[in-house]
Amino acid sequence: MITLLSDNIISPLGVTTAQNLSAVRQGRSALTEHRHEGMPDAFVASLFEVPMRFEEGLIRTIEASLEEAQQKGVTIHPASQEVVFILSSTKGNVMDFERIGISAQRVADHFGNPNRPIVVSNACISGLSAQILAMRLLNAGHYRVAVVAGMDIQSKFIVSGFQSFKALSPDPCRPFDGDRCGLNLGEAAASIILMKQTNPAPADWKLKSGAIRNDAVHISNPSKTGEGSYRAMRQICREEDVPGCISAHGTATLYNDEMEAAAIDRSGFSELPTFSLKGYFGHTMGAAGILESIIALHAMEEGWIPATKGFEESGTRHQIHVTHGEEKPRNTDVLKLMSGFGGCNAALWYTKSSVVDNISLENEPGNLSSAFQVSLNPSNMPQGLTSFYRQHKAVWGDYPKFFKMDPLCKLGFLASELLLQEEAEQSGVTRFEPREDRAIVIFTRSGSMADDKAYMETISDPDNYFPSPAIFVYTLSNIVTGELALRNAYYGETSCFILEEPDEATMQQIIASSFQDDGIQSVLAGWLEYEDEQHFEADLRLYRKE
Amino acid sequence: MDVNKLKEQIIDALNLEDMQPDDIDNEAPLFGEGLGLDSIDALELIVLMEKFYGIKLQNPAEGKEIFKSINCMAAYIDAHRTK
Repeated sequence: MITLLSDNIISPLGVTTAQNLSAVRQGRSALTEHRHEGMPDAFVASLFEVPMRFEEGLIRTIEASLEEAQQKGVTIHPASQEVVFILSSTKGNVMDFERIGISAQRVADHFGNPNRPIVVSNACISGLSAQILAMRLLNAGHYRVAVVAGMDIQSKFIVSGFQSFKALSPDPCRPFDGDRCGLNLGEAAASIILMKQTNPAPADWKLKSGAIRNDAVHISNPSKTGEGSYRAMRQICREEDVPGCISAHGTATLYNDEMEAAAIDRSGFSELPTFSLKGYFGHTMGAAGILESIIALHAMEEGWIPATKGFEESGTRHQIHVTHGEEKPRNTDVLKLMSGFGGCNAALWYTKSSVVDNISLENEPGNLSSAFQVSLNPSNMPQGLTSFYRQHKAVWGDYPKFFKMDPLCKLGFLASELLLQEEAEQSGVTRFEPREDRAIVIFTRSGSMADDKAYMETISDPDNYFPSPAIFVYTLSNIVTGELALRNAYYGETSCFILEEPDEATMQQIIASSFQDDGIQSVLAGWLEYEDEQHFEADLRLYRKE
Repeated sequence: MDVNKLKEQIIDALNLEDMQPDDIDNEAPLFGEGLGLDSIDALELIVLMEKFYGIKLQNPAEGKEIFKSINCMAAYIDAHRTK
């Protein structure tokens, strides 16, 4: 079983979990008005008083978690091969145009960890994706301990992007409320240490199950029916068990909260106490899934369900039970939800009971073999992405969305089209038939860095400051997985990982572990890297369960 | 205002590759069935109005009426432009 050993939160509200927890209980928040240089408009956010660097935040929170484990009498040797570092971030050090993988390596090096650190970059669900990956890799026995840490910096890059989406609230946010009008961003670093244990103590928190599903409807708009979130919950809530509370994403945007209420209602959980922590911390992006899991677990441990700060009167079409004040839980089980750009949604379940894991290792293939493969690079595609698209239009028909994509998405689109066309021709699979049993798992080094630069150009000159929402959305590396899910009507898992090198062993471990989700029968996976028209590489394969 | 120029700006801002100004009907709806634009395109049109015509639209919901058609948009720009 996978148990939670220790955790830590560093936010403007405190540098320990206990400090942050007590701030929430007292109803405190660090949301206040800020201004960034070179930006015309002020914004409300929860920011560190003294700016904290990306790696510094990660290192500090990991050190604190390791120390807490030590205090509990468990010494973790981070330099051991049995320990894997899984980091969660959407944009890392984007203002420096530094690849997240380089920062991640420095963090791992700081602790002398010999394994390649894995960065999960799955937009807003990254923190839950990271825990789900940790659970799977530990389950499979690749490692004994996983150090999971997340952080994002609310730089001009991110803030202007959310402003261009008209997604920011001018006041402290009001999750699920009728008067909600957007989210607030927040900074935090958070970490947890997960460990595989054969005979955990009854008091230990166990990571029971987790799943990721896609809306397959749009790259930024959440599904009106809560499709992916509902499917993720359905995947992990298949027994009679009912959690004691739901820790929702609850960003306080009009559409997110509406979508989540629909998904919770559809799942039969409309009576369950549901809360959002965004009114205390803002949306801490890469840290959010970790931070919010930690607060939920510790509050439940103490026997209280947090109040939803900012919520007064229900303002969603689907009625759900959002907490006004503190509530008493019926049981300690926590269901954690997150949703993000790219149409991805995650659900995670923590429990104290010693139930058998929902996830069965039997589903994971011992040897991974791919049925189909497509490679694209400058030598077999010297004409470049757009000319290639035009020349082979017969394969994909008219898909005007192609021209809106960033180069990484274009590359992923072309390679996946060729691959899936081949599958259709050789195995008689009908294309575009909606399915939930296929996952999309993408690995990349630079992610959307080409697009990062294009976006930066729209905000760097104060006299010509017009942040472009259409460019910003593609600066999230996982959007390519959303584009493929949307094109093919795949409701299955979509995940994006950043690795400094296309390390075959690590990629195979992660791909194989995707099958631990027993709703998944095949995985479209591989390496996508784009620097410019002379330097790119796509290597996509289709893995099926034998 | 120069409707043709507006169309060119839209084609450019929204990457409507392979389209010419003449392909866009002045009366046809821009969203839904017309050009098949989506919510991100609507946000880009808000940026376009600010960039070229100095019009700041705070509430994206207002876009619904303004972006009904090219003619609607042109009329709105004529009435509100500051540059």
